[in-house]
Amino acid sequence: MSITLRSRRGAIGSSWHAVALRTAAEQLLGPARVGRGKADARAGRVQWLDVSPGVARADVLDADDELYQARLELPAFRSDDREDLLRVAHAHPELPARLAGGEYPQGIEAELAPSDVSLLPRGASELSHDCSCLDWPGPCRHVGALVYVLVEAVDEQPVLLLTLRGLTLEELVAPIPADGGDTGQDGAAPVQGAAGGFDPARTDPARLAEVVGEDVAALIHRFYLAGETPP
Amino acid sequence: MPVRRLHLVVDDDLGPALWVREQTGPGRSRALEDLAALRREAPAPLADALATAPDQLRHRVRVPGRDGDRRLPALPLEGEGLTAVVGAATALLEARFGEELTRRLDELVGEGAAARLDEELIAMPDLVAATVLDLHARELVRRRHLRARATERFGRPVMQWRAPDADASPLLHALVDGHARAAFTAHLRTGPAPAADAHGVLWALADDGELRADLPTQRRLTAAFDAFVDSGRPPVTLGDRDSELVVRLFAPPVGSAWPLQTCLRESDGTVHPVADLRAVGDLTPSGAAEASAAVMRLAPTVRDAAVDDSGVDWLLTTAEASEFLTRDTPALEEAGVTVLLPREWTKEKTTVRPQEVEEQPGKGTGSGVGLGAMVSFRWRVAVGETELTDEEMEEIREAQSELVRLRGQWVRLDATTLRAAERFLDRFGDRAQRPGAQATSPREDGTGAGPTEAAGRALAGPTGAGTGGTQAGPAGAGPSGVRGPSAGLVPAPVPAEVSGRAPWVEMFSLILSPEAADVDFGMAALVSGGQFGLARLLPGAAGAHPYRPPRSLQATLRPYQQDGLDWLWSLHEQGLGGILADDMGLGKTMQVLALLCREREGVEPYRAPRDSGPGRAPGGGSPDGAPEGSGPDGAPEAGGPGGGLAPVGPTLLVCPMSVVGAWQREAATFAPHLAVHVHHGGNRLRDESFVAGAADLDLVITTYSLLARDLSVLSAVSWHRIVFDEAQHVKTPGTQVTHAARSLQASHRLALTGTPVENRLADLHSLMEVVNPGLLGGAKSFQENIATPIEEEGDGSAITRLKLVTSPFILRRVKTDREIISDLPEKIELSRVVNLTPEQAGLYEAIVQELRDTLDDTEDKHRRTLVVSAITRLKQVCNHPAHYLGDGTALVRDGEHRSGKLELVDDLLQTAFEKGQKALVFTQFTTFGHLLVPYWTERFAEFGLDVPFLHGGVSKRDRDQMVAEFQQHRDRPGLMLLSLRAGGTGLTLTAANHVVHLDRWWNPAVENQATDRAFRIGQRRDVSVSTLVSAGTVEEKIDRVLQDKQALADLTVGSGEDWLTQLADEELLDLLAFEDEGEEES
Repeated sequence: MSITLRSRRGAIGSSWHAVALRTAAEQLLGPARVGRGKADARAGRVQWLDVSPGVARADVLDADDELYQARLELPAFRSDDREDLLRVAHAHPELPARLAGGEYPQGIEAELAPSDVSLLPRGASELSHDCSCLDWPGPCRHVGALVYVLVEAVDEQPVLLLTLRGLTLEELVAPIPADGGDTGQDGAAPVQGAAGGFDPARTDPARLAEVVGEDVAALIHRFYLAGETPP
Repeated sequence: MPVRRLHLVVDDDLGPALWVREQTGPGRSRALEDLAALRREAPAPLADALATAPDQLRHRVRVPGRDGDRRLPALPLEGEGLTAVVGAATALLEARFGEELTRRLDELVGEGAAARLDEELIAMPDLVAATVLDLHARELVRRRHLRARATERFGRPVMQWRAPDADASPLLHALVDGHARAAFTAHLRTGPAPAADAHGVLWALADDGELRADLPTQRRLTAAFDAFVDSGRPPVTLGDRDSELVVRLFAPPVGSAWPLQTCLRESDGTVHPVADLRAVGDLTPSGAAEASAAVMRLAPTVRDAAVDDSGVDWLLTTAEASEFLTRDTPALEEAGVTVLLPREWTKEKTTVRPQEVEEQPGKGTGSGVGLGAMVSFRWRVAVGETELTDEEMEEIREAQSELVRLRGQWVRLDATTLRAAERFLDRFGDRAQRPGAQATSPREDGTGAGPTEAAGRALAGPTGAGTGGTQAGPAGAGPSGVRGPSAGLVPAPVPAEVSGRAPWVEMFSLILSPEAADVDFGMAALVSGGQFGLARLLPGAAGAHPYRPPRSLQATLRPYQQDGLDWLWSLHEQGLGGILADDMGLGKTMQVLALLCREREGVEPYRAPRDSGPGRAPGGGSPDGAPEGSGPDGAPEAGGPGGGLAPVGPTLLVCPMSVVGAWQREAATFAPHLAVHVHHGGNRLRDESFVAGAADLDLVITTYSLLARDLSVLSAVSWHRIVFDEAQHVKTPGTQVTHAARSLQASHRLALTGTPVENRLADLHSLMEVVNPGLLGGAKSFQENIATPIEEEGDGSAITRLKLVTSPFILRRVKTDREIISDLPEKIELSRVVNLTPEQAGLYEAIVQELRDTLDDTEDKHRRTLVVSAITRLKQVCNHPAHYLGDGTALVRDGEHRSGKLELVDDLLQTAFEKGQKALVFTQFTTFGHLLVPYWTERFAEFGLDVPFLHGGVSKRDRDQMVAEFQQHRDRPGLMLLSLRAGGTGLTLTAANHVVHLDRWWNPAVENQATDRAFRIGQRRDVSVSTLVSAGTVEEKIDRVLQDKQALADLTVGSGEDWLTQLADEELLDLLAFEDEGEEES
């Protein structure tokens, strides 16, 4: 199980946002690691990539058959940066759909610029890296490989940039004032929606069995079935 | 004991943690570093909860204070440690408040107040709040409203229970986790643990068992748990699984912004906008974004369009909406996305409508006639039913858009037909003369030369390469047609018109050319049409000018025959050829004879077209409705279209040898005043005397086999008309016969055929080349531009255009068309008279002679045998020489038929098979049948026929099988041969709708019985019954006797031929003797 890059030769990532991410990351890597990282990435050495707020992680298989845990960090937004981003996003209701569709409009970045906010790294200095290998202080070839897998993933799914910055598509959607405009209710409504109507008896263990196996799923399902029904 | 205040905080790093502030003096306090004292002095529940906690507090939590954050010693709490501490607080408060616990807690939380747990122990507001959360957490766990996730804590993979709402406070999540772990541990202990738990999920959910899962596996575990929990929610969240994407385009409510909506269709078919689904929580915002993104991925136009407030729907401009319809809709539909459009938005086709196509009126004014006639065309362009004005056309052209606003309605244009219409009108402008130009161009009667083959596509002008004495046509490259009345100032919309003049042949050539591909001439074209000439014959036009039936014809024409005559007359008037393709049995011969009669007696002159009432019925009936004979007297009117009844030249009729007799007979019966000559036989005239004599004749009948052979002598005659009967004989280009047929000159050409010529386009072209050379252009271009598109793609435009061009020249009525031919019986019985070949005639006469010689010497008792035998042999000869001789010679010798009967039957069967119909052929001679089976099998090999022969020697089982197979495929060609006796009993062969009696039984009852094999219940088509009768032979004479009612009454049914044996010698020999009528003609 490893990640296969679409790109076989030349630059990896073609959209402007992928190029921007790559440029910053390549500054970080330095010329020596660029070629190595690309080659490793194309050779399928990256086993998996995980993007979460502030960090992209990957297991990279080295030539010695060891798995190393590489990390590339891009700080998640602090609250004021979040506010700035959400303000711009709410003025662009189509942004979630565009991001979901693989497009990160450059205009959004332009609107964020006055607040000095960007979904993308503002140069190599905003990026940091780490790896479980002994090549200290790096950046090592494992981080290099991670970078290119990340760039290609971001190329297709700019939403990952949002994830790195600690935001979700959901947050970009402006609260809908359609329900009478009582914004005070907005926070509580989802709680109601999420819990309301949940009936453990209706759960389908097949959804679990795919990952944990049927026996384990059945046991967990029985746990849910033991739930008390409200009076 | 000092007063201690208990705080429960949630630290960013540590999570929930307990810290304690101890009052050390008035106004002074410090954070506890050591729990030992508290544990000692606290009330039991709390002391128990802290029992396992270390004394020394080594962790520090960040606590905001007046002077910035402080870091204070604290006890991190998780799992059961947390629930125990909070539970202890709850227990103490419950002891204090009792029944009122919930209410008091609510008050305290509302006020943000602390609560005393005992004299010296105070739960600070954060701990009080935690007790409330704890009650909630317990409730959630009791009801199993739980989520679980895999995550990392301090770099270690763990499972965590969570409250169902992801946004709940971290403390609630932690409390839920604590209670759920306890509950799940208890649950695990109730039964044996499963053997396989690859990731260690179970114990990771219970106590702190190790979770073996790398990061991607953690994600998958979390996703699986989410899916599992979500499956327990009733309003199932719409997801990929059970909903499909739908895009809905609306017409602009106001202005020109076209709402385009992203929707999902549930499995029950209802369609909801994703914006609505998101608003009620049935779809997550990212689900909505995904749906919208999918639309953008597939629809490039949408990507750049304006988004409405929802962020998932768009407002398209008209140009974008148009682009969306043209480009994106197919891509979306291909990807399985349904595109919903307003109901009324079927694509509106653009049609080109001719307005009152008018030929220059009057003959003799110098303008061309027929195909060469100059015609004024005025075209309008219509979208749907709306005829466009100049401005509208301009707008549409400028909009370059599939969506246009016409008279307040948004209309979706069919771009193909729009462009086609424009291209057509441009080309028309190039080719046509401007209306204001020279009114007429002096031309001689151009009919003779007409558009010749060489003129073909007529691109060089209507008469370009014509050979006759016609001047160059007027169709010099005129400038574009001039626009009609300007609509600028007129309030009511005035449709724009493109007008110009061109000869018909030029117009037809344009219509058939690729320039007119995809042009939709619409039904309007078919019902317009003008007052004059060819326009009257265009589809849907008023039709030919009707005249009274010819007085010299000794028959009453049926209405459709009258129509046919008028049509033939109109063609003749304009020097146009035509194909009369009526079904067999509808009287094509009669219509041609009527035409010959009419042109010799003349008609009333044309009424001035303007005077002819608008209500004149198309076709049928005489113009003034007067019954035959009551009109003006029979004297031929001077000044008729025949040019003052100048003597009319001879008509040459070319037909297969087998029907020569039939023509002769019908002419003699119905138009005895016509001078008819048969040009056939070894002693036919082949020199000057024929040419000289022909000029005085009315009708010369010859055969296809002589057409090529005697071409030189036939060409020497100045024919008024050439008629090709059974014209399929000249449909194959390249044969000598076809070549001869095309090279013979005449001012009027007709083809008669019972085959539906429209079905094989190459045949149609070939036949049209014979009667109207050049009309359909060259064979190659016709094949490319018209035939191939129709045959391979079913090109509707090509079909319409071909129909438009050919329909003036083809008249076909079918027997099954009850609207036209309502008075015909469903069983059409025809006596078909065929001629004997010379070989047959020779054999026939020899037999009669032999009988004549022996009859005198024969005793009475042998006489009967002798007569019956002779009659039988005569009938065999009439069937076929090989049948009589029994010498095994081929039925057809060097391509020449030896039997007139067989030749006609071959034609008849060919026609039936081409229509996919089946035939039954009866003979009373089994030996003849055995000769026919192999012959027909080979002859009709192209239809892949088996020819079953059902006779007395066939076993019941085989017979049943033959019948079953024959009945099986009704729409395929089929042929069955039956001996009359065998075929007469109890068979149902309704798959056939042709019945042929090869020879006569002379017993109507027996013959009818045979016929009724096909004509009985289950038969849905008309059945045509052909009884073959050899001209001049005993067959014909007895047939005549049988038709005589008196004679019929004298016959005893079933007596067959016996009565013949009783005739006196003289009578008998008269009856049997061969009368070669061809020889009798002058």
